[in-house]
Amino acid sequence: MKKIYSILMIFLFAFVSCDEPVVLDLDEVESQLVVEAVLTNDYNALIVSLSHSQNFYSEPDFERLSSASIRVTSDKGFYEQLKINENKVYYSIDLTPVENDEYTLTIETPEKTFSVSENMPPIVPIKKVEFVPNPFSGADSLNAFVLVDDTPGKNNFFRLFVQKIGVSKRVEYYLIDDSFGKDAVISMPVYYRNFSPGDTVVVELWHLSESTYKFFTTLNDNINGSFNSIAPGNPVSNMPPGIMGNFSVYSSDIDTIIVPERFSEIDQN
Amino acid sequence: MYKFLAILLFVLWANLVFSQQRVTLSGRITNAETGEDLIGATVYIKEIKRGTASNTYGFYSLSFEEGQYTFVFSYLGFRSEEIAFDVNESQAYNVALAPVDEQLDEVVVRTEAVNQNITSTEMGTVKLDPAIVKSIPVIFGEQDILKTIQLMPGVNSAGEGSSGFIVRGGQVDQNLVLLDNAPVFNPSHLLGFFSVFNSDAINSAKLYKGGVPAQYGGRASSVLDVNMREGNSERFAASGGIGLISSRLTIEGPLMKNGSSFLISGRRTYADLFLLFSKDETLRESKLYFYDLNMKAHIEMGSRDRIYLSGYLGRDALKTTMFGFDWGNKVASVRYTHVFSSKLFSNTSLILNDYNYKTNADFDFSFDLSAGIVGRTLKQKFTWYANANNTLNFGVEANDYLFKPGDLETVSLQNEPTVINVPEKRGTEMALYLSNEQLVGEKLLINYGLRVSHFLRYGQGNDYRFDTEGNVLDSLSYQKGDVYDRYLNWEPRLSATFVFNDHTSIKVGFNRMAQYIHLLQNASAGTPVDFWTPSSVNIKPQVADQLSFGFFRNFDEHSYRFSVETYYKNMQHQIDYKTGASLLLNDRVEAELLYGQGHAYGVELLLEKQQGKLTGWVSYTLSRSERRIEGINNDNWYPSRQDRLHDVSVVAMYKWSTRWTLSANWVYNTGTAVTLPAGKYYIDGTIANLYTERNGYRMPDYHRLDLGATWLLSKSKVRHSELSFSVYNAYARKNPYSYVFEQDRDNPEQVHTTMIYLFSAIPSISWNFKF
Repeated sequence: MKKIYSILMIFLFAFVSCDEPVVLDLDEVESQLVVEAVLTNDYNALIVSLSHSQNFYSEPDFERLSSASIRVTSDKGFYEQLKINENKVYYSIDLTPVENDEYTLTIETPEKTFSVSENMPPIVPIKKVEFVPNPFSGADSLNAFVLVDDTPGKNNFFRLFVQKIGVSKRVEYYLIDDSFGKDAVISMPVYYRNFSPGDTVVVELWHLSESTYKFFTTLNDNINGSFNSIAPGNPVSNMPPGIMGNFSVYSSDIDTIIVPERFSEIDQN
Repeated sequence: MYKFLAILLFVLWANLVFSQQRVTLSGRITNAETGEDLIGATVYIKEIKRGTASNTYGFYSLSFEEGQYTFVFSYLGFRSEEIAFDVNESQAYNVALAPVDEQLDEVVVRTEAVNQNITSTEMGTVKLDPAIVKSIPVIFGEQDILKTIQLMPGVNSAGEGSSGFIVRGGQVDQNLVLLDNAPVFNPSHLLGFFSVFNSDAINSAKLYKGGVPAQYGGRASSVLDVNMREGNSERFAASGGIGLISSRLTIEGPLMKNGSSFLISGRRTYADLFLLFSKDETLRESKLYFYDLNMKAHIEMGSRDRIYLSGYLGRDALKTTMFGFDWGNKVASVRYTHVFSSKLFSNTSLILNDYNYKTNADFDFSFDLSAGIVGRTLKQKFTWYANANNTLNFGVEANDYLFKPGDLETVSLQNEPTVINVPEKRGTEMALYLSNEQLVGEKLLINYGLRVSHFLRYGQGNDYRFDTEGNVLDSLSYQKGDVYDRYLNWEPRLSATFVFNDHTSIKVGFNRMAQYIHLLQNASAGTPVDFWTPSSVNIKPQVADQLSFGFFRNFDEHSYRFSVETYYKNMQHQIDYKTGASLLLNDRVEAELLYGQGHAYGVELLLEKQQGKLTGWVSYTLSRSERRIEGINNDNWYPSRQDRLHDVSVVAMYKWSTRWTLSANWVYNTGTAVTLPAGKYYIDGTIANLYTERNGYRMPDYHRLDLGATWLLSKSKVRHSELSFSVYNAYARKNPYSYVFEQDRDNPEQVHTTMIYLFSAIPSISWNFKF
């Protein structure tokens, strides 16, 4: 819904507004610890990187920190001390997340020690990817429709990435809840990238925890600029006060499809 | 509060029972040329230095001892009538005043009597004459009551490109806007560039910033009461104007020979015509316009009865080949006035109003989104001119609301429709009130009263209680016929004027205002997709208590008027939003809200020059408006977005010759409070903004000069033609509207800031005519 609203406002003001670059007189702020922690069902299930924030107009220097000790435990008794690689990214080796188990991340830095817990959401598979002719373009110009079976009885949250191999970067197309297809089939149309027969398309669907969804949606609001947002602020996070970032958890399903010559349904199951 | 009511009733009874027998002169004061009522025209008795003013329907009533008197009937802009006669018994006396010749070397500033500001109990009140509105240069040459009101002390724009206005540090939804007694839910076109008020159709406008009479309620900060013209009952006439981006036409005339009349006034913008010259095909096929239509008929049914039928229809539209967005108001009212006697006047109103917006898209994927609010109102008001010293107003009011938070239907290429309906809500607000304006001795005039308001929700619905995280703690379901979420508020009103002499007075006022419906805003600037929601178990009614004090002094035979007013306003149950609040199509939107208190205080200075070739005013306001909301800024006080420490308006109109009138206005205000990031960090492959506090920064100060000139081409008794020229923002100040933060495309770790401003200098020209 926020996208619809943003489109409305941008369109309205595009008719009348002008712009110019400025440098604002902003305060200097105390640097804050930033935690980017991701738990997923991929290889290297848990990845954590630490850095610090900077003043707004400072020269970018987001060097990662390597002075922390990080461990992960679960409510089923799992324990692992994370290793650190040459890029100063902490990672797990032994962890294979189990759906619905609770995982607690404990971070010890020279300044503070804190813990954050999240439950691992189950995988929601990609049901189908359909390719349908774009009525406004030529016959070889196709839109993709990613279909997902919504898990009934609970609220679900998704993030969808689509990439055309050799042509485009992996781009987020959707960050949504299950309102459009509650307890039924959710259809996620991909309109902004046309596909042709023979294209190799990678579709990646994340099933997010609610707090992770909230973090990413508010992060989107945050990074898209304060176009008169009613309440601009930091992304809503599961970190303790004074610590930026998030412990994000999601399960992902990835499919690689070669668009056929005859663009009919592709059943991924 | 029951004690207050008991005292009020006792005082009233004592004053009414023990007053002396008098005679009463009553009647209507009208425009001799058009037959229209003159609102606020004065009747003054020279021998006893006592007077009164006509009400919204031109009716006046004045009681005094039998005898011979000289009566002066006056209304600024009209020739006064002075007549002496014996009054030995109560009688009716109607007066028609003729307009003065506009080619006199003066521009008149005020509608009311020259020292009405001294003698009335009204403080914190702004009365606008449409003739003044037409003299003030505004954007695109469109004269506008809402823009003119913002030049008065204590009143601010909500921001360029924002709907609504701000009064004494309140929020935009805290202003009750009435058009012929009917509430208007969104008084703006095109994001606040224009208001819904076509100045050709407007008779009068009055803004109560404080000292709000008991007959008004439902909003916490102010009341803007706008009355439409009735139409010329003497002859058919037309007037209008053709401008660069809009045109308007008004047709009026008699309905019957008994004084009934009608008026139809419409206007439309055509800004999208300029898009035809765009190189972009999408822009060429786009539409951007608004239209509105004001209609009124007044029907005389004998000397005691009248019926008024009023209607307003307005719509804004933005459309492209694939996308459409439109919004607007519909208002209809039927009013019946009856004069029971020379002392008792009645007005009954039945009102329907509807505001909604719709947006749709139609390409590979289509959606239709709509939301709005519908209101039905019944008002019954009596005015009893009890005796020479007491005038009572009393009545009841009921407002029934249907809130439509949003309906969305989407259809994809696979033709699988999805429907989201946020449940509708219903609520009713009722009030009864009683007030008395009493003259105590010769120097003290007091207006005291009580309004008792009650609100409830009814019908099918759900109430949720949330914890501070927005999680549902429990829920209650209601069925058709259930009544719940009841609130009751006692709203005392008091104002007093002590008149030292004809030139000097002091005033004090107190009012409590309760508000049961609230506008939830999707952006810091008001937009058409803001929506109204009722009070509930979570959203308590907003209650504002305002105390004000004023000193008023006129100079040089009332050519100059000076006033200084101070006020303190305390507001309970103020609403703010959680970070990242999602309001659109959210059936648990109350989980996104935060609550707390607010206060606003200030000093307003106003110096007006009313007569001579050069007229106008200078106003200065020094004020603060703050909030303390649980969950924001560590529960500390912080500046509200409406906080403007300094606000200055200088308005000048100069009658250069019989054909040329020049005008200028300069405005300045401290920049609004705004939330900006002070830091940044890297996450999820991008740079995020680090915010430290809500409203911790200021936009640059806003100032602007507007210039105008009117060239009278021709004028006769019936015809009138003039050209108006104006330049909005004459020195092209780039007043910032917003800031946008973006990553550098080549170096994503670098962040740039872009300032968006809406207007440079905008010239305009329009031709105005009347025949």
